[in-house]
Amino acid sequence: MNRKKELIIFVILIPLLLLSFMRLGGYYFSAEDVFYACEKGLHYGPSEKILAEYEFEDSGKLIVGKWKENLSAISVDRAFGVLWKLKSGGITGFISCEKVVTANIFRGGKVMGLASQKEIREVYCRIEYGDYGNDENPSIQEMTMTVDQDGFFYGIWSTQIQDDTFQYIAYIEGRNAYGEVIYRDGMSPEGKPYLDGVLIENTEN
Amino acid sequence: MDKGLIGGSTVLMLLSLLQEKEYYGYEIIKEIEQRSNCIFQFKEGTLYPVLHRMESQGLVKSYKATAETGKERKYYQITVKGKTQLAKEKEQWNAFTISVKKVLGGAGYACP
Amino acid sequence: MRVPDWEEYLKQILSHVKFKYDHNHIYFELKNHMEDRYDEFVSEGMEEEQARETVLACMGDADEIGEELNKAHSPFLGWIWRVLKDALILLVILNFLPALSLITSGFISVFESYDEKSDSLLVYSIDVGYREKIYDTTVIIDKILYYEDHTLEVRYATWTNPFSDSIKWSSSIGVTIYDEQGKIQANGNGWKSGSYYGRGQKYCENIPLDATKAVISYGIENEIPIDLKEGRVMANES
Repeated sequence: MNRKKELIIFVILIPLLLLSFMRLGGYYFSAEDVFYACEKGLHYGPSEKILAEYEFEDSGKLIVGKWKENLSAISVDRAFGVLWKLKSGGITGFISCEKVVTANIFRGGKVMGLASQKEIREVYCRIEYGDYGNDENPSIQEMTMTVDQDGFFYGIWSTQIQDDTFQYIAYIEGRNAYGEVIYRDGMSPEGKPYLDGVLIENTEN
Repeated sequence: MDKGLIGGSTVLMLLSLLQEKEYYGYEIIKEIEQRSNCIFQFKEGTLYPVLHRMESQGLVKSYKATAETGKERKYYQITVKGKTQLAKEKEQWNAFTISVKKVLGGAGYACP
Repeated sequence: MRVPDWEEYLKQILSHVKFKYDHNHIYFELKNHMEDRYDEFVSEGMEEEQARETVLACMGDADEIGEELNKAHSPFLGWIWRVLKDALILLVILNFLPALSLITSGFISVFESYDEKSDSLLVYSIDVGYREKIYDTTVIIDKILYYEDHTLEVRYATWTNPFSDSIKWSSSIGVTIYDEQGKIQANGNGWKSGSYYGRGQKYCENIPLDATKAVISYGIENEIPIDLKEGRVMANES
């Protein structure tokens, strides 16, 4: 077998083996390829639009997309310098956004969500957090985020949060371009409970 | 003749030998010595660059086999392309020697 | 016969040859030649040391030979061949573990079988035979079995091509049961194996005999409705 023949065999085999290695190992040429491949693997998507990409401190980034008025959040990471794969440590995947304003807290002190009404231009959140066992008097963090043209909002409420504390969004307000509150969800500062914009009639339990 | 084996007629001689039989390097040297009655004696190491270049040009192929001495040696065999090249070079060589003889013989011809 | 030492001479020749891959080949070919010549001299009666030096003289100038060899051994093709061969070997090694894991999982899948529920009698079974590709995965709903202790069992399997471009997980199905009035129960417990080919079983408890519909969900918003009234093969009929 002379070198010319071997060269032809190499040129045929190398792309095949490369493809096989990448497909079996879950490696991709771009971060977005990982994103869509992950959605496919979780049997939803593909997202109509990628809303944002956020870099992680260590490496890789979080890619957030929008699919049928819901969010799709997947963390990706570099591999072998030039390739991409799913970031280890778990992915979020599909985030159901059924309320008018849906907001969620994520690891790393991130808050993000979707507002489905065009009039809502700003979202205010009250986050309650604290140590387990001390949930009578939680600490409070407030934040306000701008809603972009896709209805998406994002913010970082804390970078110092510990893993073993509880944290949740206790109250959300959706405000219009004039700053007027047109939507409420959760326990308002006045102590009134709302559920997806509707005031719940007082039934103390 | 003490020249190094790096000349045009070398390829012709090697191809001609390899057309008859497959040889390894040392055998080739011995054969040339014998046939030329030791007129052709040269630096033996210079054979190999020629053989290797002929191989990369596709005129010969090499393979490993056990020689009569019992040791493993790298044999060379002529290829189809080599045979074609041999025929071409033989023709050129013959034309060359005929011209030389004619010059020595004194006959006159006009140049084209 | 002592093997003579021509290392310095050979190394000097090779120092001119830039294409390192061929060094070994050249080294042995030249050395063998020199040994053959040496054996001839010695068998004719020459002294070992003199034979060794005569062979060196016969071979020729190391630098000249080296330069000529370098010209014959550094074609563009040679370098490309070398680089591609290294790349090929690397890729074969990289593929080794994934391929092994693929074969192993395939092996396991072949020998897998459904668990037979033994703590209650079968009331009816339905041969569903449903098969559909959801994104990259072909979902097969094989059978539904209903037992006297009001457990409804779904037997299914999934197949995803290992070389497709999605990221592979082994996802199990969700099951929601309905009766005439509406939804009775969502989900239950069970198992699921294999990210390529795998079987799964799902059990839902406290399901009435007259449940009308089972909706199988796979992933997000992919639903397979199965009529529970049709195709029932009662156990005591067979």
